[in-house]
Amino acid sequence: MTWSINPAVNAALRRAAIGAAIAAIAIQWTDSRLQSLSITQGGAHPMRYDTYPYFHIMAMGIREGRIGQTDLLAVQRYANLHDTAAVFERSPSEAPRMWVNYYVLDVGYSFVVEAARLMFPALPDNYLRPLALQILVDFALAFFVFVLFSQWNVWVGLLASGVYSCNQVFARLTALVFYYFWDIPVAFVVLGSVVLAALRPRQARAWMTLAGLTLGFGVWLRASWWPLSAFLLAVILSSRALRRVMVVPIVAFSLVAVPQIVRASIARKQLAFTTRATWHVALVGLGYYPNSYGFTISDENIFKLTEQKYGVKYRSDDYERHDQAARIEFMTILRNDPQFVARSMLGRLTESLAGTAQTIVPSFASVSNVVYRMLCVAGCIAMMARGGERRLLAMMAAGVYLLYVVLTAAFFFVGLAYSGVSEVMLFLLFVGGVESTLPLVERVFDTEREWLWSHG
Amino acid sequence: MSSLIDGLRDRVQLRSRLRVEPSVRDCLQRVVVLAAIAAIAVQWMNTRGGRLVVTQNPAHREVMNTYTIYHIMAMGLREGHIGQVDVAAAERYWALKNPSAVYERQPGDAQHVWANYYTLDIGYSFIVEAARLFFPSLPDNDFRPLALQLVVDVATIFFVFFVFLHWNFWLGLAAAYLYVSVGPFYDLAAIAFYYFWDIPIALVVLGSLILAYRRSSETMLWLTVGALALGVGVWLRGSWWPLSLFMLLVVLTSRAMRAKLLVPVAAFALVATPQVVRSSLARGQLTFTTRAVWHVALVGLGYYPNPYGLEMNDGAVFALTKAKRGVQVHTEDYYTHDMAAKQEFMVLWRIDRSFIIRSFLGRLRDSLAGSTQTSVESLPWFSNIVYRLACFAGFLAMLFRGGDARPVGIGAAGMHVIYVTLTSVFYFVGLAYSSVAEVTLLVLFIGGLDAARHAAVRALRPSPAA
Repeated sequence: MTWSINPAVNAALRRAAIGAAIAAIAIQWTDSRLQSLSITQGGAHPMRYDTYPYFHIMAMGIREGRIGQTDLLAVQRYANLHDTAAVFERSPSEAPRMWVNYYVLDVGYSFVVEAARLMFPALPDNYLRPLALQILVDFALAFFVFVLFSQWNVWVGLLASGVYSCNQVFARLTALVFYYFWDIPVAFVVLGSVVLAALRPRQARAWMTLAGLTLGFGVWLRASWWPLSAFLLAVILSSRALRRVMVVPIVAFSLVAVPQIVRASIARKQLAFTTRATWHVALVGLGYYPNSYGFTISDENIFKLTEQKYGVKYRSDDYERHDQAARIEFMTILRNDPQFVARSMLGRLTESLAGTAQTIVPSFASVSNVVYRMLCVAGCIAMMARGGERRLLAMMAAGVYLLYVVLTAAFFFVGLAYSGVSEVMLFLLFVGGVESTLPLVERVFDTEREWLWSHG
Repeated sequence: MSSLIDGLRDRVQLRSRLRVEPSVRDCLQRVVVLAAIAAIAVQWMNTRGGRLVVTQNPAHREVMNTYTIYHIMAMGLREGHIGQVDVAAAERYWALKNPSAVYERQPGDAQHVWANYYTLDIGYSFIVEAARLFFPSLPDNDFRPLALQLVVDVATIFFVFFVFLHWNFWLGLAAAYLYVSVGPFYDLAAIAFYYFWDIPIALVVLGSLILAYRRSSETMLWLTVGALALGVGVWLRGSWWPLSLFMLLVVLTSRAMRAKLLVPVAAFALVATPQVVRSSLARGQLTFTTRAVWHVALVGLGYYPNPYGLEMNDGAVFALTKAKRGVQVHTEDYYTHDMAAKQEFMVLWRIDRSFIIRSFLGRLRDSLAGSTQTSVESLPWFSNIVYRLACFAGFLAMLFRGGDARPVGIGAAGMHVIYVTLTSVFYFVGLAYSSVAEVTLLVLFIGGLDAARHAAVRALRPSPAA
């Protein structure tokens, strides 16, 4: 028996199925994002970061030509309000100011905040504007992953969009107003652009330039993007087709990223890629497990330690001296008790890889993080086996995942805040893996059908 | 004027001689489209976000008092209580005095007083129940229907774009941008209540008419979609009955459409008839809605200062019928009260007819001009009166344009006039009831833009000699 469906009916059914899938994705996206918003922003204790006002005031200073500078007195005045939802008022001209270069974290997020301030004038000038921008970008990413995977198969595109909407890490980071979220779009755009460049040779240069620009922005956001950029460059250079179009993208990346090196190098008086504190974080990371040194996972604990032992006064704009003291302390412990340091690192690495570290949330409600990661490994293998652009994507995603998790776990651990990059890589491996196994599934179905026909 | 057009035509001819590389043109076009999409998204976020910050402020959330009735009605659906409200549960909820409280399912031994709800049309309870099913992760209160409103609001942007791109692609983008900029649309999208739902319904009805003309192979499909939307509309608000009748007449004027009306009319009847049956059973005669009418008419008379002590609030009218006619108001059914209000209205009509006519004409004028007490600006760039004049010009332009623009123009303008007049007879078109009127204005405005574009293209088209 053969089935012949009228093409018009077939097209109508297909359209209805796509419409239903889009509706389901929209509902799922709204449900998960609003739930995250009600957890993080609702209730009596909204989750907002103490460091956020530094970036907001830095953003307000950009129009006065103060790039990467924050007004410490304005930060203090804001903190004194004890209201994280208070609007940031422009200080009157006679108000005392104390503009200082901000070196504690990378300053790229201040540009995001300023963009949000310009784009959403109807919202109160506080955390709500960057939150609005995050939600908008998150929504756009649900489209982006559809566009990316529908290059291979429209149903996989829809699946990707649905999986993206269900992912609880993405949902939670969207609802937390800080730079943590922005690793997600950066990671998606970079890897997606490389894949699109490979799939669309005529537009390869344009897509690679977009990837270069995005990576350039990434290094302003978080220094972790430096080693990831180097790794991605190495992988891309292994592709002959992409190698030919790399001049413009590299120039674009350099144009965006070099000022960050200049800024960091001038501040540190030597070649530096970032001014961000590293050893402070390493000591905080050592507090992940119970220990005999009194370390706990809190910044204040380390500030107290370096003040008591090395006489370093805390400065909220630059941790350099404190960071050097933390380095000495770390090295002392490494010499005295290398086993503890190694055990701590390995433990954090294991938990980070397995997705069981403290603060992490399950990627999906119905699958444990360990099972999800095993599926992603299977997906990686399937993509490698398929070859072509899928292999390129698998190499990039798996490599970035490993490099990122190992580097982060060396100093800290991959909890919720820093899970943006790793979660994107897992997502790409999972959906890519599903797509790569489709021909196999079709072949099985074909064999089954042939067998049924041959047996009447 | 003619020299201006000649000058522009020369420029167009010059531009047509300057060849642009197709790939460059494609690239530029793509960039412009992306920029337009970004502008629409940012404008949506600004308008909706700005309103949500106000209406959903935890310190004083704006929740309609009657919303509770619908939520409890929705909770009763699974137990087979269609159109019924548990009055005791509603009282318990109101006693909490917390508009953000979650609606808990009542324990088995709790007192239940299920009563048929006839005060308003009950269709919104189905929407609340759909939202409750769609968004299980959200607190079970007005957050869920609010989430559904926002999703539908976004979907409506796509629909508006899809409909008007059939006239012109750039017009589709402009229409989407205009949609997200209309004041009453974002005001109503930010509060969970049935008021919002008139917007998608009216857009689907008029949009389906456009699509039925433009997609000739799918005429019946789009007419059916429009009819189903009207069917849903009459469950939501009794006002959709006369509008449905008018739209039927508009469609009947087209010979091509007339032949394809059987299925749409059947679809409408299937959805709408149970509402007629329910109302007729409740009132013991053929009735299209049980909604209180005369109560609203008395409230409407309180719009202007008057010597009768009428004020623009429900409480004043309840107090009046109680004091003068001893009527006790039942939350679930205003019928007795409504009949008393009717008597009161008729007494006033007999003794001071000129006051009632003056009041009606005043409210009609304010409603048409968009200058009522609760009206907000339709678009941020013009005053309401200028916008309405532009829409009227758009209507005339659509009539001249001909083709499908003419019936669509007549449909939109007719809907506007009928809706505003009928509403003003009893009340006025303030913010809460402005949805249908605003949708029709938007369609006329965009129709005017399209007609202007069409006229410009024709005027600037290079002459054959050139």
